[in-house]
Amino acid sequence: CSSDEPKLEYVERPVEELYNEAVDTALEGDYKKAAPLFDEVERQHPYSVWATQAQLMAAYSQYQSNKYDEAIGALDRFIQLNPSNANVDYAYYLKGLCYYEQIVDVGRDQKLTRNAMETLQELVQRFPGSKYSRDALLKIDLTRNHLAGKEMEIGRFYLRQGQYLAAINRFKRVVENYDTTDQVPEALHRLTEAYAALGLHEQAERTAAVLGHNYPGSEWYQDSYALMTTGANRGTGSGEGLLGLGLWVF
Amino acid sequence: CSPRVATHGNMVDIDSLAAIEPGQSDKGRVLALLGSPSTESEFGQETWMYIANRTEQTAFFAEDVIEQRVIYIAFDGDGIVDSIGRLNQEDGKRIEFVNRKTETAGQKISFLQQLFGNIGRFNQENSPLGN
Amino acid sequence: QTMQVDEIEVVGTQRVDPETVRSYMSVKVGDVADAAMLDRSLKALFGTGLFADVSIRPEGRRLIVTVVENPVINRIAFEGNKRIKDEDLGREVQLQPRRVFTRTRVQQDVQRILDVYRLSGRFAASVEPKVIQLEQNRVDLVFEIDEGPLTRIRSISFIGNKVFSDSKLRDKIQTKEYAFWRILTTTDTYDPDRLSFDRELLRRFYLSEGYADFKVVNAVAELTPDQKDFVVTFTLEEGEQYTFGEIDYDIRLKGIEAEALQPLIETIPGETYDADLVDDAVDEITDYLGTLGFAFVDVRPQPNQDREGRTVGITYFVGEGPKVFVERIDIEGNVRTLDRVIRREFQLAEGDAFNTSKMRRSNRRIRNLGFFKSVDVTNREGSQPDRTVITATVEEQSTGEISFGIGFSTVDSVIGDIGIRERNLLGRGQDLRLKFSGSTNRQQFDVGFTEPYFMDRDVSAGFDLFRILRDETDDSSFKEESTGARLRAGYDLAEDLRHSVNYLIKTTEIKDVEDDASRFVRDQEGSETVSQIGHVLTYDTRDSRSDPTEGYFASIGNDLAGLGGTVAHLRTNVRGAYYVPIYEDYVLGLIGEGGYIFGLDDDVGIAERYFVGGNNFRGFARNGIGPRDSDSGDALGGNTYYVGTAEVGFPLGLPGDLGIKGFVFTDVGSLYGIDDSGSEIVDSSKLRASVGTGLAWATAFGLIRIDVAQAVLKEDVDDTEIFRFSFGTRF
Repeated sequence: CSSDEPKLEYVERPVEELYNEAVDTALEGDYKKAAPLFDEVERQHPYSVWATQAQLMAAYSQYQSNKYDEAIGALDRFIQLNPSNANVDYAYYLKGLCYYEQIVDVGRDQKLTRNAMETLQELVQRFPGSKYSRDALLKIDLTRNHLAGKEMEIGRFYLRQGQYLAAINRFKRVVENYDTTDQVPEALHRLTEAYAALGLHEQAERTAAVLGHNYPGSEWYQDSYALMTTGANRGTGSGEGLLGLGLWVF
Repeated sequence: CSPRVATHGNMVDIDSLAAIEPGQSDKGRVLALLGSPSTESEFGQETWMYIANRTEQTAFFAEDVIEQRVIYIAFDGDGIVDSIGRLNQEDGKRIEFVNRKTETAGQKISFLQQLFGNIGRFNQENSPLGN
Repeated sequence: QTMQVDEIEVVGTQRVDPETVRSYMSVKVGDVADAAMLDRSLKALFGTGLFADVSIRPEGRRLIVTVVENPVINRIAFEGNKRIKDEDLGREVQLQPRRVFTRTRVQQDVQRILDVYRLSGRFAASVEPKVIQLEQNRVDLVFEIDEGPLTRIRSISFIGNKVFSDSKLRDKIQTKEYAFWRILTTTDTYDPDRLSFDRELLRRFYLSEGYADFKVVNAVAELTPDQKDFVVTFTLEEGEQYTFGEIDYDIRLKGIEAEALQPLIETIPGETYDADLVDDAVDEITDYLGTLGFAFVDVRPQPNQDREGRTVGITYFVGEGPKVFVERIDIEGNVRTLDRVIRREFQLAEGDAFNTSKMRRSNRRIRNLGFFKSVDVTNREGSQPDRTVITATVEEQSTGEISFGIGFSTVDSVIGDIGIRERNLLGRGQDLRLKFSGSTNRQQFDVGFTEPYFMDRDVSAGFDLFRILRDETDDSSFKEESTGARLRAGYDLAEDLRHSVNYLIKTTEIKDVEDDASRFVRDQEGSETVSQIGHVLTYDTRDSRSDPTEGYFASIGNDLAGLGGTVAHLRTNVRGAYYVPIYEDYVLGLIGEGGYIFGLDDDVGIAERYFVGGNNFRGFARNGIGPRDSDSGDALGGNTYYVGTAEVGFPLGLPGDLGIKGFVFTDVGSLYGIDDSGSEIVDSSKLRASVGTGLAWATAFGLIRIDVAQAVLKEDVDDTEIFRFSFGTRF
């Protein structure tokens, strides 16, 4: 087996020099180059006071160069090693942002949205006083609204397919689990539409009443009101318009 | 050419429905006879609904509903059956649903990025062992 | 005994912050701690993986926590690995530079490296981790690897197989013998999991051939004396062949009679026993009962084996299944495909009665989309006992294809094409194709777009734009240029019956007509527009499109031109094929096609007439038969044609997956009928025929096809051709 020392192709350099070079590169905005330099600080001098800060800066540089997975890995390590560090709330916040910026449209898998929400909620629970918590709360509402949007997308799919039962249960999930989001008015109107389509007029009237009571100014309430009084949505005759043709091909 | 027949939802059978007497049967009895409801009312008097339809679809025509069985059972305050209602497809209304939808954010895939972005490069980081 | 903790002193930390140690401990300053709490704190600290050793010692009212930190990894190196590169190994191991080094993680990584080598067929590999201490409690980690020889399968043999030959059984299993031409395969190396899967494949094969008692006694892989390769031996007990015995029913559902189920099943008394047919029967019965509204059925075949009579009787138990409803269908992993593109393939909607065969079929339909590397549809109990939640987990794969093909054929000389295609455009399940294909005498550029569920119905609609340049100078002394568009839609009428309709609009120009061309060609010079509606009805039960061995194919299509445009005609095309295995792997194919075009208010122009010979009629050159101008020798095409082929494909005794098949065939047909008239036109409706033999080899790089055909029945004006070779590759 090999007897000699594995060849060291990197040069051991004093920590201040390494750290400053990394910071300068980051300040110049070249985050792609800065990240490995910060890693070098931590690798060569893991016990120096700079190592902890370098870990966080490395993660920030990777975040800036959109290398989200690497940034999340580095942040997880920072949080495990320094759970009581002064900047650990920032680490949670940055990790939340890494997920948040990758959120895709509601038609597709929302795992990243859920990850963003869970990470930001952990930040808000552990550090309610942190200066990042205010923005985290705002982003949590936006992710919850996004998840509600996915439920609505599936509900509308079943509505178009004529599967009113499936649609009703999906819209009810929005009303029950996402009651603070801005999808609720549409969910209530869709419930009114589905109940009316099945002939359950009493349920339709009650749902429309709740919509009117809670969201009087909403456009959706005007639709429900029209549906309940005239039997058809505003501006629609019966039968499917030609618009459907264009909508689907593109 | 044979039409494709499909049954959706909970097609409650009529005889067990007849065994439920308003004023007497309670929720437990209904559960035993019909199983748990397809959906429950959200507001107002508590109502259990059992919804089902049977559709036929031939060639390129849309599915047409040949039977729709909607049963709703309303309960009074102490969970005793207050009234039972039964509807079929004639009671339903043909509605053209509102085309608008509440906007949501999230990155869409751009045409070029998708066409050239992922030729043979999709999950590039999985290892031979798989994760 | 307990103690009051006023202070916790942490000793021995270098990199980890003492505050961190205190935060992981369950004992806090000010608590009254007992032995159990101390023990829990000890375990918690070990659990972090940060420390090689931890000890907690009470001293009066102070706790002394002494820790020895695990070292941090400085660099990782791999030595001795030739076959697998450092980066690949680097991705496999969990330990990374700057991570904490622990004994257990090193052992786990050694095992992961061995697994990678096992997968690439190197079972004799060994890995020795070496740790080099550095200052500041850091270490370098070196994995010293001895890859050992590649353990290939030298031979696979069977003992006890009287009915089927060794080569037949080798075709049925996944593990293959090492052979120089098997370059692209990795299944010629020894892998115990694959071997056990092979036992299952053998069992399924024999069961489908009627051997109900079949058993694989054992499957052994021994190293050859020189330790380089493996020899695999399967010991089998075939047992006797069984036929189906008495079939009866044990029906527990009200209103269902045995006669109603009889026609659904193919397990007929006296026929050879086949386990697959029994499974199909269960599906057929479940589906049939489903359409009658019996959502919850439990259909189970109960075989009763009669060893003396060598029959297997089946009693189909048909009873009430558990009443379970679908609470929700969640779709996960679709990072690109839209939720509705997958959800619309489901045979179940939320709220429906749950039924396993519908779930299985939904799995198959999603898999057939071709967008996913893996599709896994499972269900688990929902929020109530009679509810279940179905989860479809998919793993996306790239559906974009850049295709580039090049080929050579004596008929069209050099042929090539380049295309780009996206089968799942923007995750909407739509298909977009751009393609340019060309040969010396034909160039074609087309764009195709298809939406599989037009207007949310089971109708696939789309459009094509095309531009075709045909150079018929050598055969018919003219060039043709046509540009056009086609709108199309197709739908299923029944199980194997499909109907499609289309509207075509194109302008065609006949130009660069040679001076010495036939006068019939000369007066066609100029352009015309064709505005045509058409439809095609297709019935297809073939088992595979590229290499059919069983089943029918029949299609009839009509085109009516004349709604606008300058041309009016009615055209009818028919095609049919019938494939049947006649003896083990010999397949007889009877294939026929024909067409008739009829000018509605004036003559049919040359651009619309049929041309036969070369690819569609072997033994005759391109445009080799049909009406011809005897002065100029130009082929003029014809209004009516038919071509028939009788072909027997047979294996050349070589291993199946080599992909070489031999053919013996005879083509017969004719092309005749032309609206122009003149003494110099030679037009005979006599039958032409040719006989020949050929070879097709599906190599990893493309399909090579060689045909030698001799025209035996021909007219003297016809152009014949003996040898045809084509090689096409796509990559």
